[in-house]
Order: sequence, then C-alpha cells, then structure tokens
Amino acid sequence: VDNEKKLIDEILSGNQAAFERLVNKYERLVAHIVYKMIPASEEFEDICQEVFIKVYKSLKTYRGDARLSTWIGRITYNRCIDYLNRKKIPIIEDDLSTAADYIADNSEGPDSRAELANTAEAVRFEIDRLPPRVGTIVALYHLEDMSYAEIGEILNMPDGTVKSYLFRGRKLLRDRLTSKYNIEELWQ
Amino acid sequence: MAVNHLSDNDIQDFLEGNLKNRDEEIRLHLNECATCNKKFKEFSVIFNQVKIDTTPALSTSFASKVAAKAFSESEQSKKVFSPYIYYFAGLVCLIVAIWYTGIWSIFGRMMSALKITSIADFIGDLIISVLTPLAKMLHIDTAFLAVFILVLIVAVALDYIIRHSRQRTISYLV
Repeated sequence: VDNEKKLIDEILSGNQAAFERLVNKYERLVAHIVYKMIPASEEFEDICQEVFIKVYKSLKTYRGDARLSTWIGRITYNRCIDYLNRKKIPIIEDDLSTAADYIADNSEGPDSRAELANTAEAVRFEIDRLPPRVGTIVALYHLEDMSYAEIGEILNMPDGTVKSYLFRGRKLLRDRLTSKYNIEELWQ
Repeated sequence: MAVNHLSDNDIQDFLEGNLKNRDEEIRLHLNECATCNKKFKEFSVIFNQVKIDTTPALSTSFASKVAAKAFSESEQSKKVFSPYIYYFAGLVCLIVAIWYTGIWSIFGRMMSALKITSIADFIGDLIISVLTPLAKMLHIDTAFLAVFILVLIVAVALDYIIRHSRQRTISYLV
C-alpha cells in the first residue's frame, strides 16, 4: 500500500516514468477484463489505452479506499460497459447452457480434431467462449489471484454471486470439454 | 443402499481447499466412488486449464506509448488555457495604461485626421454612429471604446497569426 501511495505521489508530481511503471504493473489486469468483456475487438489495444488515460486523469481522485488494482479494474469494467452500450452490443450474459444445449447449437464452431491443431488450442477456444462476465471472473480469479470480494467490487456484484458465476463457469467449461475429449487427452 | 455422491460444488470447494473439515471424508469417498473420482479428475483438469492465459499480449511499447500520450494530453490541456490568461491580463494592463495616460485622445485625433476621403468619411461615420450610442450606454468615452475595440482586434489578429505560424512551422518540420 505504501509503495502504491508513493507511486501515485510520483505520478501526480509529474513523473512520467512512474506512470509507465504503473501501466506495466496493471496492463495484464486491464487486458484480461477488456478481452473477456469485448472479445475479438479490433480496438482491443485502443480500449486498453483509453482505460489508462482515464486512470491517469482520475488518479487525483483516488482516495485509497480500495486497492489500486481493484480501482483500476473497476474503471476498466465500466469503460467496457460504456463501449458495449455505445456500440449497442448486448451483453450475452449468463448463457451457462448445459453441454447438451451447447453441442446442439455448436454446429458452426470448429470441430475439435479437424480444425483445432491440438487440445490446448481447443481449451483456449472454450475458455474464450465463456460468457463475458463469467470469463472475466474466471480470469481475475485464476490469473490475477483476486478474491471474491475484490472481483465483486470490480463487477459491482455480491461475493456470493461471484462465487456462483465462477463455479458455474468452470462447470460449463468441464461439460463442454468433456463432451468432446476424454480426460486423458485433456490431462496434458 | 443409496450412495451420496459429491456435488459439483462440493468437488470445486474441495479443490479450492474450502472443505478442510470434511477433507478425510471426501478423500475416502473419492477412493471408493468411481463416478465421483471421474468427476474429480475432470475438475482437476479444468482447474489447471483455466490458468492458461488466452488474453493477447499488448505491444511491447504499450506502457511508454500510453504514458507519453497521457502526459502530452495533460500538457496540451494546460497550454490551451494558459495563453488566454496572459492575453487577457495583457489586454487589461494595456487598457488601464491607456486610460491613465490619456493616450486615447491621440487615437481619437488620428481617427479624425483619417477622414480624408468620402469612403473614409462614410466608414468613419458608420463606426461613430455605432460606437456613440454604445459608449453612451456603457457611460464611457466614444474614443476610448474605439481604442478598446481596436486593441482587441489587434490582439486577436496577433494571436491568430502566432498560432497559425507555429502550426505551419511544426507541420513543415514534421
């Protein structure tokens, strides 16, 4: 926390290198949220850039009530929601359909063996196909090591809902993958 | 005898280490129950696979680019504001100086001297006919108002010339 405060003070006193350090530290966090919320966007890097510009402009209002990562995550998430609203893109949310539903309407997706080079690629494909908020929660929990409370603060939802989404997301992933592969293939 | 299988949530909680108090019981069940054991293995795989980072990498110079942009935008917003403060302050000083030294009367005489042609007369009359009621309304001298407007026009013109010449110089250099 002290290091964060020191970093913020340096940025506010006009130290550009300090802001560069902040961007380096949190760019993966921002990238995860943007990529999960707005997948396949050509503006991916531009949106990440806008987020950090907004962070820079708002830094003087940061009071330190939340961790800096949570605060930046919240700005990123809100920016994604604004983007989706502005582009009139509906959030296809909570589509935690069962494996059976998934297989039934998955005819246009790539075939597991024919089109995807290997199992790892298939796994990546399925992870990227998780619904936006669920994918974001999975990424923040497993890649950013955030707690339910921190994720809840970012996505503005109760801890219990975060846990529920996370469990359902992993179950969905398991159902989808085991419907195509056997466990030995996945165990790599 | 009915078998109490572990639920999906039980297995996920167990893998997350949230069921320490049932640890022994669950391990025993997983050793004995093939159905739950299979499910446990599948979730173990998923717990490993979700650690795969599928998010594309940002460009290597991303941080430096963003930092440069954020700081230059901030500088620009300061620059847009600050020259106007200087122009305004300069203008006020100039007007006050003219007012105290009485130089406006010289400008007034110069304007009178300029009325040498009929077109000049017409334009002069037109300006005076507009300025006189305005000056009366503001309770100030007409010549003073004329000088004030003249200074304003010169300041705006200079500002325009300086800004555009700077931009042209920059565009030539770039």
